[in-house]
Amino acid sequence: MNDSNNTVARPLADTDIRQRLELYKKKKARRSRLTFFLFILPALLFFANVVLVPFISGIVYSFTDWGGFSFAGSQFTGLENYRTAFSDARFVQSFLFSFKYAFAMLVLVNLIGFSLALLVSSKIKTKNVLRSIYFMPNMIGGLILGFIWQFIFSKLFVQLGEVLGAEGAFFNWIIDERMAFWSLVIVGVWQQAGYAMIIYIAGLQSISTDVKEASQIDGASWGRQLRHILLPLMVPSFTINMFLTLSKALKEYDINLALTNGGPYGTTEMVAMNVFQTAYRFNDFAEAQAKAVLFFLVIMVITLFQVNLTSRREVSA
Amino acid sequence: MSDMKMSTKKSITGAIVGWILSLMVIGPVYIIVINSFKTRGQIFSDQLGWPEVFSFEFYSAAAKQMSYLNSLKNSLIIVGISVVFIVLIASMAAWALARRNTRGSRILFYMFLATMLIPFQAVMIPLIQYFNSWRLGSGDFAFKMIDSRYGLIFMNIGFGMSLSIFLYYGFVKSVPLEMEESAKIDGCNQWSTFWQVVFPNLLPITVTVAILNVINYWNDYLLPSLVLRKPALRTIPLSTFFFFGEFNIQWNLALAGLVMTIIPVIIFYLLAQRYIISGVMAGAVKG
Amino acid sequence: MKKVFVVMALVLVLALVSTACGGGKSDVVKITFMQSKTEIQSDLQTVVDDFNEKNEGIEVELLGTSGDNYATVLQSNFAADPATAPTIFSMSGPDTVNFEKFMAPLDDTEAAKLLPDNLKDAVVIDDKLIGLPSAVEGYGLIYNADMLSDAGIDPASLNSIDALVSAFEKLATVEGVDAPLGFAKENYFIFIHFFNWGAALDPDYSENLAKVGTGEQTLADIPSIKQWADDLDKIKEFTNKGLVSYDDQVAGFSAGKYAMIHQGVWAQQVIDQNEVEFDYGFIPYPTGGNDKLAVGTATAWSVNNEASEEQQKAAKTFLDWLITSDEGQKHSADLLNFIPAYTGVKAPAGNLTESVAEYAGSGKTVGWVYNTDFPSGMDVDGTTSIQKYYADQIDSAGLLQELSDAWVKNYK
Repeated sequence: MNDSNNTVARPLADTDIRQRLELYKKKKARRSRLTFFLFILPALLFFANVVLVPFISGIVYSFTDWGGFSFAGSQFTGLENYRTAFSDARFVQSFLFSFKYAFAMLVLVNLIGFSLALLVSSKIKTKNVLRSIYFMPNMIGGLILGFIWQFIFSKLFVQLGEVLGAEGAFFNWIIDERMAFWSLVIVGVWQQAGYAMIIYIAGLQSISTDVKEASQIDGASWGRQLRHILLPLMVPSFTINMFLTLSKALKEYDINLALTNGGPYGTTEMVAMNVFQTAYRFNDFAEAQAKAVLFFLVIMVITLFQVNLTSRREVSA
Repeated sequence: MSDMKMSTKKSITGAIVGWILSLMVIGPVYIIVINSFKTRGQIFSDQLGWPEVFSFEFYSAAAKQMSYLNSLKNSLIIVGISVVFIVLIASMAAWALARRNTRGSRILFYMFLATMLIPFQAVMIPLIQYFNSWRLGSGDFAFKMIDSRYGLIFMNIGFGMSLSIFLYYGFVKSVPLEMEESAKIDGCNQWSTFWQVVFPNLLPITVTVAILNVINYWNDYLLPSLVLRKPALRTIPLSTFFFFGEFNIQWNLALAGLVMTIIPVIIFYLLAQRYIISGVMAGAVKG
Repeated sequence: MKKVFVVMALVLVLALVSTACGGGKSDVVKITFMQSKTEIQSDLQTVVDDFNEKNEGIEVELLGTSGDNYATVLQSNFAADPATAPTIFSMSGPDTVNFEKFMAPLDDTEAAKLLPDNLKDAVVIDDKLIGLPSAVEGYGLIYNADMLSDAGIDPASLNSIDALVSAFEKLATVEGVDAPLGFAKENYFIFIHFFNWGAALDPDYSENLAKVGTGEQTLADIPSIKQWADDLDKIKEFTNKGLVSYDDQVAGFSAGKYAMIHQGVWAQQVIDQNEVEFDYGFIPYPTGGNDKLAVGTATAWSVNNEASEEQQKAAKTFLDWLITSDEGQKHSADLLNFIPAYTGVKAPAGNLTESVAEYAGSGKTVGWVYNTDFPSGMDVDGTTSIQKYYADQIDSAGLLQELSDAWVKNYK
C-alpha cells in the first residue's frame, strides 16, 4: 500500500490525484465499515431483541413497584428496591456464598477439565468412548441431579462411614454447614468438568501438529512441553473456560435447588436462588429485578477483569 | 522401537487412568439406569441393587406418556434449526469483530460477553411480555412468537449468540491471516472470502460450538416451558413434566424419561466428534 | 459455500412446514385448562376427552407443566397477556391472593351451591367465590397400626402429648426403628404444615396473627402457639429432625424405620406403591390435647376473568359437569381419587381418604390457615428457623422469636 502511494505521489504534487486518492481511501473505509456492519447485523438483530430489550425493561422495572404482571400502572419508586435489597441480610450472605462457590469452581473445573482434555487428546485407546462418558453429566440436571446426589451423600456416605469406621469423613454432608458447601462444589465439578473439557479439546486440536512434533523432536520433557509450549498456546481456551465457569457458577440455581435447597438453615443459599425466591416466594418482583441488576453489575466487573487479565497473556498468532 | 513401546505403555496407563476416572461418571449414571427398571417401592428400599424383574415396562410407559416420537420431532426441529442458525450467524459476527480491531468492535464484543452474566430469571418475564406483542393475525395461522416453534427458535438463537461468538472469536484470532489476504488478492470479496476460505477452516470450532449449543438447548426446560403452551409443541424435556409433581415424583418413569432424553445427544456427540478430528486433519494438510 | 445454502434452504423449508397445522371449527368454544397436580394429569386427560366427546360446543385443552415450574409458567402467562392465559387454572396457598384480580366470580355455578360454608375460607375473598376446590385433603400423624399394636399401644389413647411421648419411648426400642416420628424436609412438610397446628388451634388466629405481623405481639404471646413450641421440645428427641426427603420419609415409614410420619392423605398412593404389609391410619397431632385432623381444600380451580365471555361460560359448564354431574362425580371419585368438598357427592375408597372423610363429616377438623393468614415467604424463613432449632442452634423460645421477626418482615 505504502509503495503504491509513494509511486503515485512522486510526480509533481498533483493535488487532484491526491484528493482522488483520499476519496478512494475514504470510500474503501466506508465500504469495509459497511461490510463489517453487514456481517454482524444478523447477530445483533437476534441478540438485541432477545437479550437487550428484555434486559433493559428489567432494569426499568427495578426502579418501580412492578408486581409481576403487566407493567402498565406501575409507579416509579426510585432507588427504593435497591435500598431494600441492600438491607436484606440474606441477600448479602447469598452474595458472599456465591463468590466462595464460584472461586472453588473456577479452580477445580478448569484443573480437572483441562486434565481430562489432555488425557483424551493423547494417543490412548478408547478415547472417544471416554470423551462421551465425561461429558454425560452435563446432560443430567434439575431434580434428577438431586435424586442421585442426595442418595450418594445422605445414604451412601453414611453407610461408607459405618463400614469403614470413618464417620469423621463420611457422613451426610448436605446437612452439615461446612461440608454442604463442598457437596455443592463436588456436584458442580462433576457436572461441568466435561463441558470445559470439550472446549479444551478444541483448543488442543487447534494447535498445529507441527508445533507438537517440533517440540517432541527437540526432546523436551513432557513437563517442559506443557509449560513452555502447550500452556501459552492454550491461553485463549483458558480465557474462555474461566469466564464460562465463573459466569455459570455465579448464576448457579439447579444444583443449589436440587441438592441443599439453601439448607441447612439458609447457609447455602446462592444469589440466583435468593433472587428467584424474592420474586416467587416472597412475591417482591421489582425487588428481585433490583437484586438481579446489582448482581449483574458486580459479576460483570469481576469477570471482565478476569478476561482482561488472562487475555493479555494470549499469544497472538 | 523402544519409542514405540514407550508410547504404547504410556497409552495403556492413560487408558487405565481414564477408565478409573470414568467411574465417577459411570457410578451415578448406573444409579439412574438401574433404578429406571425398578418399581417405586424398590427404588427407595434398595437404590443400588439389581431390579427384581428386568422389564421395559417403565420405558414404554414413559415413552407413551411423553408422546416420545412427537416430542423427539419437536426437539429435533427446534434444536436443529436453532443450532444451524447460531453457527452461521455467530461465525460471521465473530470473524468481523475479530478482524476489525477498532474500539467500536471491542465494545461490541464486550457487550456480547457481559450479557452472558445476566441471570435468566431476571429477564424471563420481560422477555415473554416483549415477544407476546409480536403477533399478527389470529387463529391457527397467526404469526406469533409465543406458542410457536419458530418463536422459541428465534429466542434460542438470540441467547446462543454470546457464547458462540465468544468461542469463535478466540479461535479466529489464532487463525493466520495469510490465506484471507491471498484470497483478497485473488479478487474475492469479503462475503465469498468468508464462506470459501474462512468458514471451512473454522470447522473444528464449529463442531464444538454446535455440540455445546446442542447440549444447552436439548435439555432446556425453563424457556421452552414459558414459550410453548400447546401440548403438540412439547419438546422432550417438557414432555417429562408428567413425572414431576410438586412433591410426588414418579422416579422410575422420570429416570427412564431422562435416559430417553439423553441418548439422542450422546449419539450426536459420537458422530460429531469425528469432525473435530477430521477438521483438524484438513487444517493441517492445508496449513 | 453451496452446501451452506442448501442447508439453509432446507432449514427454512422445514421451519415453514413445521408451522403449518390444521384449522379448527369456528363454532366451537376453545378453552384451556392448566393445573398443578401432575400425578392426576393423565387421568384428567381421560376425563377431559370424555367431556369433549359429550359436549359438542366446547373443546377443553389440558395444558400442564412440572409441579415446581407451575407457578412460574402461570405467572409469565398472565404477565404476558391475561386474555391468552389459561381459561381455567388451579391455585392454592398464599399465591391465591396474587392472582385474585384474574379470578372470575363463581357464585353462580351449580357446584358453588353444594360447597359447605366451612370450606369457603380459602376460596372466598371479599364475599366473592374465586375458586372451586378440587377436593378436600387432610394431614396428621400416619401410624403403623401393626407396630403400635405389637407394642401394646392403642392409637386412640394418644390424645395428649404426654401419651404420645410415652408411646414414642416404647416405639424407640422396637427393632428397626430409627426414629418413632419422621418429618420430611420440604418447606411445606417440615415447617408450614406442622406449624399450622399451633396457629389454627387459636380461636382468633386471624386477628392474632395479624397483630404479630404489625409487631403488636409476638408468636409466643399466642397460647396455642406457645403450647405447640413446648410440645415440640418434648417430641424433638424422638423425631428424625426433618432431614430426609418426602420420598425417603414415606419409604422409611413403609420399611418400618419410622413408627409414624407427619404427612397427608396424598401419601396414600405412595405408601400403596411401596406395597406395605401392615395396616396404617390417621391420628391428629395432639398438641395441647388436640383431637382434630388438619383438613383443608386442596388446589381450587379458578376461571380467568380476562378470557372471553363465551370462554368463561364454557369453563363454568365444564367445572359444573366435573363436580356435579353423575359422570363427573364418577370420574372424580374413581379416577381422580378426590375426597369431595361438596355435599352429597361420591367419595373414593382408601383408608386414609376414608378417615379424612370421617373426620370432616363429624366436624373434627382444624383449617389450613397458612393459605390465608401466613405472609408469603414464611415457608422459606420458617424452614431456615426450624432447621436451626433441630440442629440445636436455637431453642424453642429462639425459634418463636425468629419466626416472629420473619412474620413482621414479610407482612404486608
